[in-house]
Amino acid sequence: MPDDFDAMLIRGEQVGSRYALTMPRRVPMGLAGAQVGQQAGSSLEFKEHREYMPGDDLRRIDWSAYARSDRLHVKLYREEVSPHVDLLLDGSASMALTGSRKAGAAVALAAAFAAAAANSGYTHAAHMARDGCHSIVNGHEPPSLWRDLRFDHDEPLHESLQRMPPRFRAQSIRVLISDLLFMGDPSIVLQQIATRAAVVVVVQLLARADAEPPQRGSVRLVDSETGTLQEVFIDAAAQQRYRAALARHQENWNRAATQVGATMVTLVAENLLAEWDLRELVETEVLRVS
Amino acid sequence: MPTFLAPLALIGLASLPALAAIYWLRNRYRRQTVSSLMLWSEMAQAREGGTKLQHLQVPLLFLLELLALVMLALAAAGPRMLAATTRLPLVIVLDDSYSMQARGSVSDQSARTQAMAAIVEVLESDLYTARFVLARDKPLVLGEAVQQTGQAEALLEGWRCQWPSADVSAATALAMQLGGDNERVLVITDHEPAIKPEGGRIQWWAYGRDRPNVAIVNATRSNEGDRDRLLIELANFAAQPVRVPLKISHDGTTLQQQTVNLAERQTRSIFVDVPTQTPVLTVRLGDDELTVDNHVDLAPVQTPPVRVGLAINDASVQQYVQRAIEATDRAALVTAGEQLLITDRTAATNAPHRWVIHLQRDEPAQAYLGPFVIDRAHPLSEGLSLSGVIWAAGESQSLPGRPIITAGNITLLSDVEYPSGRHDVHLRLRAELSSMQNSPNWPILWWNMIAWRAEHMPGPRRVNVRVGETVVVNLPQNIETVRVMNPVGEAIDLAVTDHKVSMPADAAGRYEIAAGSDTYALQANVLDREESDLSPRGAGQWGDWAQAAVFSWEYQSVAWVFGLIAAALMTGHLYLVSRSAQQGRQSL
Repeated sequence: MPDDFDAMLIRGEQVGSRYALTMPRRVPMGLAGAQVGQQAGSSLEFKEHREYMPGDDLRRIDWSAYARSDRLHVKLYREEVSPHVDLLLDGSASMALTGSRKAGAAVALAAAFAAAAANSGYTHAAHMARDGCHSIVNGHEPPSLWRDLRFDHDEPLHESLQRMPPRFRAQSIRVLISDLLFMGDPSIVLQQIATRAAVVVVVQLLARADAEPPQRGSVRLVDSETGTLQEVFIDAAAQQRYRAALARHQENWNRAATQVGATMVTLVAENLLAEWDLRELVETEVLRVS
Repeated sequence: MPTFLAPLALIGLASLPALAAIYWLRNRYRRQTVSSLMLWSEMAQAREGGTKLQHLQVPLLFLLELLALVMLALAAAGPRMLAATTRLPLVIVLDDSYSMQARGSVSDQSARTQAMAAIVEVLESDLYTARFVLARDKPLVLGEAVQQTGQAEALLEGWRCQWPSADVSAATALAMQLGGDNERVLVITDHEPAIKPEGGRIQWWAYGRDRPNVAIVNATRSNEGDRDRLLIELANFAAQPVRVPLKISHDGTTLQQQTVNLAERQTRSIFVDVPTQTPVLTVRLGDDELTVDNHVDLAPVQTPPVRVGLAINDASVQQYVQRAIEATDRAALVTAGEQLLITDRTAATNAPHRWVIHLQRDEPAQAYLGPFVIDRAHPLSEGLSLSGVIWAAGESQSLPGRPIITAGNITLLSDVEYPSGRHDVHLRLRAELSSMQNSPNWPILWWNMIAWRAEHMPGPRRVNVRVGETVVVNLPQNIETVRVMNPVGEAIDLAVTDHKVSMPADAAGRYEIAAGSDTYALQANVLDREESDLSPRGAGQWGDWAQAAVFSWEYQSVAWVFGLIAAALMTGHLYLVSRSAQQGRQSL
């Protein structure tokens, strides 16, 4: 029985409201924001003077200082940053794996991130990689207002990213929620997401059926996206090989995440929805209890 | 063909479906949708679990296991082969009764046809030397022993299956005696055995079937003076009522035709009058699964009266005798050319064809009340009961010949038989002192006289007989051999004994007996109620020579062959399994 996305959004929002995003060390730059940035900006808080350089806004020349020193100086003010979170949901069919609660958990987790971002004074925008990357309807609104959430596309995430990249805000915090079970190169995918990003968080959301191999016996496996069949005989060795393959795959993503400075967390959908415990995200300092 | 000492061990073959079930359950696919096959595509191509299933691998192991199980089961069953280098003696008892001819549609085969195929198959095995015994009312050995199929087929032309009954038990007993203790006996019939043979010398193969049948079970033709009367008895052996057409014809001309309704298992008698002296009549029913009992041919019954001459001086005695003779309605009183002369005169001339009854009036006489001693084996004594009869006769003179009736040591009636076949009968009676001539014994005695004489007149005693009956034909004095043409066209020469020939009517149809210048004809018909009832017929095979202890020395065990094959198969299986395990470990 698939989860009711509206309920999941509300529930995720409720859970996320107990958390806040941890401020990244690299403060994202913005034109105007609620927080003071480390760099010079357009806020009213004076930071320092420096000599005029061609191209500087003439309106910022400190004429008083020119009078005193006969040199042109411009006033530098602290930058006002307006931090923003871009949420990217993998809309491929594998996220709605039959018999799993992955899709509901993905929706709830995105809502939780949105709520945590709101707690931290961040704006947010939700996107979905589904036949290219599109903004979710009402994706900048509170999660309970998000609409048209569907996980039914047979195109893997990396192909959607390539075909129509998401319109992320520069220096935003970007959160990718996906099972990452596709053949694309993790480095390329993460490079694409991390470009001009302040922070990248990759949440690998697996179903329990993804995390654990099938029971022993002869199994006819069906790819949820392509419908391809593969008949395998599962025994202990096969289960062991599956776990090894999954670990290798996660290791590749972790390595790629490290290369782009992203944080990667793996969650199991059924566990998440059972306990609503975002401990892993707190432990990795992606969230903090507000 | 191998036989099995312990066929029950073949129950082990039941493990085959069990093994197949295990494989089926093991190879049955559970469908499961996964997020992606990428993690499975990276699997090593190992022969152990996790590999893409290679369907050819499983059937090979399965086949080896299957074959090994079959071989083990066969070995456990104790297979044996005939070790004999010479052909084994076999006597085949053939049910020769006409129910073996029963067949339904065109595609349906009669029991005889099926049995013929089985016999040919037996002989083509080149294992046996076969003799045949026909099971009729009395068993009959059919020719000599044969080994080749062609010889057997020629011999079995004589297996016509027209006999109205078959004493299979008697034929089997004869077959058991023919070849001694080491002979196999195969009984071919169309019904199940009363006692099913098991593990002995006898095998019983039945090819019958419960079939509906309507039959003529009795048919007679008698002369009623100016007309002939037919009695036809029809029986419906089916479990449902039937309507059957009945046609009486002569030489293709229909004399009478009707439809007869018969309830289930009903027997019905039909009387039909036809003009006398009409030649052979054919009575025919509509065809059904057994056609042989659907028609009969009835020849006209010609019973010429016995020409009787009376030469009796005693008027009262003549009156008694003449009245009794006339009452038989089978005699004609003549004065010349007598076949039977009744006289009280001593000077009777001898003629070869004339029998004489001498009436003796002795003096003095005495009336006897008994006890009377009667020779019941003599045809003249049939039906006599002299209790209460006063028989007066002289006591001074003894009678010649074989006594038939005596009163104490006084012979009252005697018979003298001559080598020519002629008989002289001596009857001693004083009518005025006796009550014999006024008792019912008097006409009985004279009926017996006339019937006895008529029975010895030339020609067949009965012109309409049943197949299986013994036909007796009386012949004139000087005939030594006769030629019989039977219904299947065979001419058989028979020697005459005691002025008569007797032979079995072993086929339905017309028999012609040529005796000198005379020719006699008679009709044989298939008429038997029990044989026409096809409801108790059945099929099956009983008995197993391989289980007979008496034949055990003829076999040698070949269980070791199957055991070796099983071991080889299991070794191959072990090799394949270990190789695949090794490859599996390498893939890890």
